[in-house]
Amino acid sequence: MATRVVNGFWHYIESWGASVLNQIFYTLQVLAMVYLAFRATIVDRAQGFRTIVSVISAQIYFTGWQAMPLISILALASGSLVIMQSSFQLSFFGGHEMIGQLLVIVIVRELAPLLTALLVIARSGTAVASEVGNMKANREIEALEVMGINPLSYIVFPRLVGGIVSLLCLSFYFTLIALMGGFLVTKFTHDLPFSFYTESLAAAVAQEDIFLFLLKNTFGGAIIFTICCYQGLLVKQSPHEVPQVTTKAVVNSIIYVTVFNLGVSLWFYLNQLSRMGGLW
Amino acid sequence: MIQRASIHELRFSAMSFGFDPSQRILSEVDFSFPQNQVAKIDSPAGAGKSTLLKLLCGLCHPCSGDFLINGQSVNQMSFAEFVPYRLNLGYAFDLGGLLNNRTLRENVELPMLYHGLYPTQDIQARVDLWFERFGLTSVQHERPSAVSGGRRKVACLIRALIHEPEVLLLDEPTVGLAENLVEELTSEVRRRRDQGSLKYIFVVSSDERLQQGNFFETRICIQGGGLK
Repeated sequence: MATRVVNGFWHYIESWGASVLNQIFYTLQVLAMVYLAFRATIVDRAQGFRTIVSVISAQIYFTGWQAMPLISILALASGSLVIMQSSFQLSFFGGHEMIGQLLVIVIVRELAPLLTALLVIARSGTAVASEVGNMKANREIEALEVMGINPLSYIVFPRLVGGIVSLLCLSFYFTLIALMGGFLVTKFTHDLPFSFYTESLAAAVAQEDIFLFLLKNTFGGAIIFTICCYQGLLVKQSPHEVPQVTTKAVVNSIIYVTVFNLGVSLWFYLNQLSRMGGLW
Repeated sequence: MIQRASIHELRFSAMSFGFDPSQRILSEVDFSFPQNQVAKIDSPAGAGKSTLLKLLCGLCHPCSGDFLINGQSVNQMSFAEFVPYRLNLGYAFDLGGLLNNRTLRENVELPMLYHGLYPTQDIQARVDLWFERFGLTSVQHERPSAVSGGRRKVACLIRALIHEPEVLLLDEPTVGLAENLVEELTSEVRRRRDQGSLKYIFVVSSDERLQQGNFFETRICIQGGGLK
């Protein structure tokens, strides 16, 4: 009985270790692809830089520009909810002047990077993974190679750069709409003076908020589009593999982006606590 | 701008290849490919005709031995080092190979614009001329999915030929092509070969029209893991 329990425990440790190793291996492969894509584009004297720039702008158009209506609705709804709830709760406890600080923490630091990333995964991550997967199945990647065009510089690099720029812009747009649009919507339910609201926000925004915003969105964009391109390139021959890699791309992107955002927030708050002497 | 590297020798040296290590398509092959002749690649179905074309354009790499271009091993070259040779290769796929998110015209223009092989105006003029010759002008701004298989095949052939490569690899080039287009293709290949600009021509085809038109001048057979 005891031996069976010990064996079961070891088996559990073994399978857990194997899955951790798999994740590490996967991450290393994805990082290697990013390195090779940048190297192929910049170091290897990529010829068609103008062509690559046109692919980047197309990516920004599809991922950034076309997502704006959806982002507007999401930002307006979540901004209104957060402003409504926080202003009500704060006035209940008499902390009305804290509204700016609370909104910056919730919207700028957390909601904007995470919700925008999730929306981009759902909208563009799936599109990129299935597009690249179909290109592989349709032998378009082979065709590029034969033409002397490195798929890493023509396919991966523009999607990565376009994705990062799009996510940064969309997240900024989300923040703007959530804070301003949300205020206008809640104007009907709360009597919060606009001047007080904007002053409170302006006073609350600090350098570290901008740093966190840029860090989360830049790496969020990189994570999403690298994983989606990588999964798309895993298709071997057949179109039936495309839905499978697309699903895997979405799942992995969500896991990596949320874990990254959580990790950055944790690191930031632990750092703040330790600076205040509240830790160790 | 990358300069094209002229190709004057294609050779296998003790070259072995197989997708499955236990089942080699080619085993320890020493073979020097014939120049200035239209070579038909022959073998039973599924024995590796298209794979041989892929080996010759560097899409597949030998399991052992070497594929040598001008005496240089392709295995040892990085992607960037192989590009000057690739600019002298033209490869027409049997199926697929056109970028679906680009129009037929953009597909044909892409390699020349990307590598800056000719001034932009020259590229436009060349594409106009080739599209006119092969009857693609009316559909030049359509995407591959919007045109027939025959027209896709023609666009793929034009892309392989338009930059005047020294090595031409054609995989089932005439499937779905009308008689006059087959004529146009074969005469263009012969003309270039006679001019000396096209040095190596490898064709995989089971089309009787090419056979009857005496298009092929030599045969390369894949047999028993070797080339004859």
